[in-house]
Amino acid sequence: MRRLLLLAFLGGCQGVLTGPPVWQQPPTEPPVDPHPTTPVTELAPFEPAPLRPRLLLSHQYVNAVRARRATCW
Amino acid sequence: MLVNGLTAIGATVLKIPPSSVNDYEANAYRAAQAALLARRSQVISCTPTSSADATCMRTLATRFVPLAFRRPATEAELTRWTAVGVEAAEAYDDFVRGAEFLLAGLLQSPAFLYLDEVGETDGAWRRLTAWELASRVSFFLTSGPPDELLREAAANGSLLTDEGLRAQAARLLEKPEARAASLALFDELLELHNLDHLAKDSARFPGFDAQALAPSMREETHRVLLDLVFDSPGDFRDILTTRTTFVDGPLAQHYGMPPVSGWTRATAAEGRAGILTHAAFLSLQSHPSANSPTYRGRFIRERLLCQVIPAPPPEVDTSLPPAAPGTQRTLRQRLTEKTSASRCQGCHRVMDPPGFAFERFDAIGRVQALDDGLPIDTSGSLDERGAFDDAPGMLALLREDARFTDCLARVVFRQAVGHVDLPGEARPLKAAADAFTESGHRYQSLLVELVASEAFRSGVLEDAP
Repeated sequence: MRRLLLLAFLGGCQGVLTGPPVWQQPPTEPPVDPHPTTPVTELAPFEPAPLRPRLLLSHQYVNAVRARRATCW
Repeated sequence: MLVNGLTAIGATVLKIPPSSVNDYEANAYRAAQAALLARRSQVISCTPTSSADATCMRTLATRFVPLAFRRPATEAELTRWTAVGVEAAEAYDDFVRGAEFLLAGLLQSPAFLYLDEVGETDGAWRRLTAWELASRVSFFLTSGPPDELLREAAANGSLLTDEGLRAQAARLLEKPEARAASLALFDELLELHNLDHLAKDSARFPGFDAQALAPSMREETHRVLLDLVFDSPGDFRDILTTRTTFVDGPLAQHYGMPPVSGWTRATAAEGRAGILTHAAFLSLQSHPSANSPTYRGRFIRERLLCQVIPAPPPEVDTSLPPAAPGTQRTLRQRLTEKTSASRCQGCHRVMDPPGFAFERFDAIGRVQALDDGLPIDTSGSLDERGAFDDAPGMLALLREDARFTDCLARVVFRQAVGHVDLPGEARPLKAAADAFTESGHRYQSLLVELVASEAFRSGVLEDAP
């Protein structure tokens, strides 16, 4: 049952995450200097980004397991 | 999986095939079995009075659920996970098997596998909870879960204060894990992981064993970075200009330096400056048999200046023909002729000039005096920043370029939060970059400033598609 829940959860994520968000789509515009040295005070007010779940795999996951062994077991 | 060059971003879109879920499930049980075999008395700290002792099983759940989920467990979670262990213990008539199911289940739980951040309402935004913040800062700076002191700071609320958060970040950076975490980012930024399958044309480079030398190449760049960030903290921009390096015997021979025994601090030869003149970068940003000024220049544009370079149109043949029989042409000459068409110039006039600066280094990072028997022209200009004669000159301009420090802040931020910075985040990122500059460009200061920024601590909930 637990395994099914995990599969359902991961599967659900696959569905939700179909198609990259706007900021991950391949660039199409010509080369420009996107970050001129504008003073902070002249930049637009801060707007936070969407919170998205991140899977702790790859090196982060491996290190997490190593650290867990060291600190917990 | 790398997205936008970073595993941290790939982690938001990674898809898991069922076969990998099966493998992970099997490994979760193996990990639980190994822990119970090697350290049973430490894992099971109570003495079960029966094979399905619910009180002792709850003691396990009370200890391990908060560690696995990196936050306090709810009463419902403790009840649920205790029941998982008790049910298995009853079925097998064995308390240890019950503990194994509990632990293996936790390792497969989404709350363990994901950094799942929803925050708390803070006006129109969400502010990360202390526990979410603890995990975010810990995985960013140490690639691992929060340690005991960080959990304490989350529990007592001090992590939610600016000074408390900065203090914890500075403390984490003193841990050995911080070195590995920084190297992991540099590996991705410099694409050093591609050294694992570096291959060069044996006819063009006879006697060069890419796989034998690749570990030394990678280690050289690692050592220079660790030296500048942790061991002798200095101006991080020096990664582009320092002649201090580290070589072992094979690498010294490759560079034509005097023999050394083991890893030795050394001064790079005249003409080399910083990590972009290391064999690792020069080999990676080349073809198997020839240099690629375009690859090398594109790397500078995209990775160090955060500029956008579109891929060439699909119908364009990007191969570079050899010089006509009986003629001598340098690679620069051939590339300039090939890309002289206006539709090519839009990108090549941006990419190639900084790439030409490296033309005195061949596709395996050795010095070459001539190209096809002709003198090599490494001069050029970097936008309006000035003219240069060679790689050290170009890299000195890049070092002073504010676009480089701004881009560095943005790339490190992407690693920290798992998304490419959005326009609305430019202000706090610029503030962090400015603070980085004011610190004398200390890399550790940049990390602390990014952690303390509003952009690191806040978010909004995404509408369901």
